[in-house]
Amino acid sequence: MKNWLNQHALAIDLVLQRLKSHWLNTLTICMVIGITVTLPGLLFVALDNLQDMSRSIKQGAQISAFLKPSVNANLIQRLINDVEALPQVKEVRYVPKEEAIKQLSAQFVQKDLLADLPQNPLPDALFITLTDTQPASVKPVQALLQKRGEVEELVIDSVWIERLHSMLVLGKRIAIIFASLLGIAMITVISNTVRMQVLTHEAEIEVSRLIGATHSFIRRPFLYMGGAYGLGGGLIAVALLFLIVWNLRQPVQLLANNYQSNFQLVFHLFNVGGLMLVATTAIGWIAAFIALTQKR
Amino acid sequence: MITFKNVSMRYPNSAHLFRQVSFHIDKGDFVLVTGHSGAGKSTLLKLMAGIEPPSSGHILINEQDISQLHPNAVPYLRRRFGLVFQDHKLLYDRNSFENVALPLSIQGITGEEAARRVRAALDKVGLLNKEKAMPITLSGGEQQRLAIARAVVSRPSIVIADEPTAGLDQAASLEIMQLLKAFNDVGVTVVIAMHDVAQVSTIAYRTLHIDQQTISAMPAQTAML
Repeated sequence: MKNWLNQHALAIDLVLQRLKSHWLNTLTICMVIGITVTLPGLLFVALDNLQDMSRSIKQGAQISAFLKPSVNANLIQRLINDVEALPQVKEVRYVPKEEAIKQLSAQFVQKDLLADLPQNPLPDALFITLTDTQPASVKPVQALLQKRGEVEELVIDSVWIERLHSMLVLGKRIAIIFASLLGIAMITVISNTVRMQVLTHEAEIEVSRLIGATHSFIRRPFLYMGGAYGLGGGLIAVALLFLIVWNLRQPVQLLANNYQSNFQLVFHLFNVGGLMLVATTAIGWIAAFIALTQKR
Repeated sequence: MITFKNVSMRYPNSAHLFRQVSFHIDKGDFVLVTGHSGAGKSTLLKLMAGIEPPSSGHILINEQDISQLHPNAVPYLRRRFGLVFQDHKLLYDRNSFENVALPLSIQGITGEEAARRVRAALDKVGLLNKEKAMPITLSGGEQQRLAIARAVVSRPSIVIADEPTAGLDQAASLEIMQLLKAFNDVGVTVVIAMHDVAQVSTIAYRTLHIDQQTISAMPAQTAML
């Protein structure tokens, strides 16, 4: 066990020495990988933020049911009870027409106009918040309300969220395709570099083989080398993404404020960044593995 | 220790180097493999070390048939040998110390233990004061001594040397042979391939001579060192 650990420590030490002795080469390769990974990374960060936004909107998604003027309090309460009994419903808020006109007049600049009206034109209304906005959740509530004679008009404000959700799914798919293509490019770059390294150390490999080195002993430093290139590239990509998001945060916030939104651009360093580092390291290792398998 | 039983060897698309040869090398033997250029001396050593497989027959190292070994076990077999090559096969981007430490690294021996053993090996071949020197700065004789230090650092029971004195002058050749003899004196089996025995006034307790696809074992003889 100790010898096995020693061999791994030795391989890591050897790789670090080689990376250090050819630091410019190392930096160039890591930069190429870093920039390659930044592009799909940026797309993922954008989608991640949009998803966060859509999630917060979903929480506020509602069905508005405007009631007929003739409906009395008992019928309204029965309707509320029936709607609340549905498992898809999170909350039902009843706004009587008197309260609705008060809210409107509070927002209205020309209050005289409302005062001149012969009677309150607004209906009693139910604002129903759902547990989610999936069609399967909306449909039973919609069906119940449409069936009931107390409801005059229904407004379902989840359609555009559905569209955003569909766009996010499409965007994610595009990002995955994009990332896969660039992943292949990354594998090619690292694989080629490792193959060159193998050629450079051919004498050493031959001698090691002759004096009893196992296949794993010979391959190990090159696999670590591939992983190190991936990790280095990943670190550069994470740093670049962090800088880009940091740079865009303020203008995005200003734009959001103009739309009365408190949306903030964020980069989840530990989730997205960590995932990127794991992915790039794994890709580097796989690329080295492919190069060594071809050389075998 | 090393037994060849009816071993034949031929490379693809070429004539047989040996046919049905059998011989035995005992523990502690000092054996000289002789023959003209191209007779198959180096191939014989490669067969012993498991570097090449025989076309037919059996090679036993300590009663273990190496032709039956799983490919993954071959590296562990090679660790039992100390190999010295005609062209030294030193790593020219590493210093003397690092070259000698390579077999130990392969076995996972590092740190103080490795340093102690490397220095002991360098001391034995008289290169302790050149542990930081790069191989390119060493003379031909010194490079070969460095290769011997690398071969013995992992304390092998058999040292196999392929033309270790090739390209060296009389004095350097004698030095190398004396060094190999010194290892033999402490119980290490030494097998050396040489095409020109006359170039060194050497010893060979036993000789395996390759000629006409056969190997003849000569009786033990003594030479002045």
